[in-house]
Amino acid sequence: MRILIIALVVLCTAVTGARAQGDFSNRLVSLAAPGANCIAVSEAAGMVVVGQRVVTNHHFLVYKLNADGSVAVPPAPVSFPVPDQVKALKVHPIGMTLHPRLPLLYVWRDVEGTKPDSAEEKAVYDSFDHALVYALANGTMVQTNIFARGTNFLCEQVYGHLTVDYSGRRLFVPNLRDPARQTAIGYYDLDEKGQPVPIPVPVPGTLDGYGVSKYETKVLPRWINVQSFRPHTTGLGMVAPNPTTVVFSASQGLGVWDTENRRGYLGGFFYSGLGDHWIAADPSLPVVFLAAVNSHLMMRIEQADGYPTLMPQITWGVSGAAFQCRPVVIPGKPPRLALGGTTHIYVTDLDLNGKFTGETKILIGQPAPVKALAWSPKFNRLYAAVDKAP
Amino acid sequence: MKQQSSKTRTAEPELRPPCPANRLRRFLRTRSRLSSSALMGALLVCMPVLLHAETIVLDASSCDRMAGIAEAAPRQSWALTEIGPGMFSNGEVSLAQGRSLLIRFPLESIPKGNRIVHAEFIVPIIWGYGNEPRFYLWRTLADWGAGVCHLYRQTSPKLVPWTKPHAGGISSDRATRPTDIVRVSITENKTINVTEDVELWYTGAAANNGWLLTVEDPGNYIRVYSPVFAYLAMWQLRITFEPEGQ
Repeated sequence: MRILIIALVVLCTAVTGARAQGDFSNRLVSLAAPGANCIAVSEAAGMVVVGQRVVTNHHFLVYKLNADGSVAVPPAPVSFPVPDQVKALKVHPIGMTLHPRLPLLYVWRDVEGTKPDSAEEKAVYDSFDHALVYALANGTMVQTNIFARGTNFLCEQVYGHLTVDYSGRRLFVPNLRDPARQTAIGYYDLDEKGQPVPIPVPVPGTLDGYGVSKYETKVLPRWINVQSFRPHTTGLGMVAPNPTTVVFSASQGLGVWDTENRRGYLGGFFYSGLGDHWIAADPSLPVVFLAAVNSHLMMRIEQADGYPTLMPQITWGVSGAAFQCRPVVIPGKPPRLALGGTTHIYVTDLDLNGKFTGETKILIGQPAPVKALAWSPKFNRLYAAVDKAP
Repeated sequence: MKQQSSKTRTAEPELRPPCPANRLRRFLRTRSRLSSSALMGALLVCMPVLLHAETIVLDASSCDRMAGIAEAAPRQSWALTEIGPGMFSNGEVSLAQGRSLLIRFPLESIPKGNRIVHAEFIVPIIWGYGNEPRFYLWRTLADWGAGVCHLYRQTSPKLVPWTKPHAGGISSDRATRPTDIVRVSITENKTINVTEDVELWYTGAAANNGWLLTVEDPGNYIRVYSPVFAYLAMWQLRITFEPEGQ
């Protein structure tokens, strides 16, 4: 009899827990900010950073986290330095990512308002750095590095999702271009402090009689032309399960850059009709998820060491949805995938292998398009940056 | 569409006594030597069998495993074509020496208790290049899965290499002899008789690890519509089966 009562109590607890797990409405933290377009949640530093793409005198809103993961208001506005030469242009963050181990935030920013081959564009190439590194601590962010300047960086980009590989050894960046003005992606090796490692660059005009140049070190990316896979923006997302291989969002599918193989350096998995899409993943699942821009098409495909493999699963999610941001994986048993729409957030059930089960819950009531999502395993909360009108 | 002959196949042991349908097929093959009345008689005798036979058509959308393996991209799973130097994708299949396709159709849609009467595999060819281009269709023996590539038949959750790279192990990675060697030249749907392979898989005499399509002759290559990018319905496996014991 006693065993039966204990079993009943355990069963009731499990059922209640499962219900709580499936109900996301009380775990959603919606942060409405004008022009919100990217978000990062640092559990270690106890803060949420929302990037803004609007005409304001600041570029981020920083929310301190309470002990239960709720946010303290009002948020603190934070700005990054803008060189005088480009102050007349609109400058904003377009992507951000956290280091997997260190309390560091990597930000990709861009300008708006230049014309091709104009004086403004030259000023951007000469003076504007696209990448910033911030140290996060106790609800504050302190800039520790700034780099990525020159003619091999595209400007006027809308999306700029960058990523650090799961081990924290490489920072992969979008929005590069090769000398022929074709799209490219690149990477910086990171040192043990998470800062980009300078690489040796030959000094022009120093070639000696032995055919050897003098070298200086500069923080420059190693890059690759991906024009045939992604002729326009490369900023819709990257996933780097290891330092040597990165999966990136390509036209009609996924691209993979094998940085260790010179003979077969690029691979692509394409599916007719996929269009443009964000991609996302989580270290807990060997899967890459795709969410089509302004559509309700979703896809998942396994990855093995960063190489897409086996058959994809393609599904039309909730009818009428129009995805507005990168999805975010909610690890757990079972895992889930959260997607942001124009006025809704969708939470799709996955099985333990990361396959869509066909069940989707809708969290309604968002006042404006959901432009960025982030999940906190520690607080068990979903943070949404909502693009509220100024 | 012209049916491809299977001259290169070895005689395999008879799995079971010949069924009436097989007898009918053999009978029809020799029909030129028989009188029309005998032919009509045979048809009447076998009519009940024919009425019970069913045919299902599986296209590439029903495939549960597929991969493109290439020597030049030894860890990629979808290296079905090289669209530019060093750039591989699944947008098309261009079979060449060192670049091959693995494809598996699940057979669970055939109800238990049947026997395979006939099976044919249709491969939509774009063009063949080189000196008498031809591809080899092999039954894959080794199990393969996530991360399959030129070097490994599986990399997740653990690395398992092929016996020889590129599923090259004869009698271990792939069958001892090819199911068929198919000559191609122009745009056409090649129909390959795969009855014995499907029969082996369906009866459980061999594990269904799908087929491997290769080009073995240096310098030749064959372009085929992609079974995964956009032309899924062009790849077909047609299987005719009938209740066992008929």
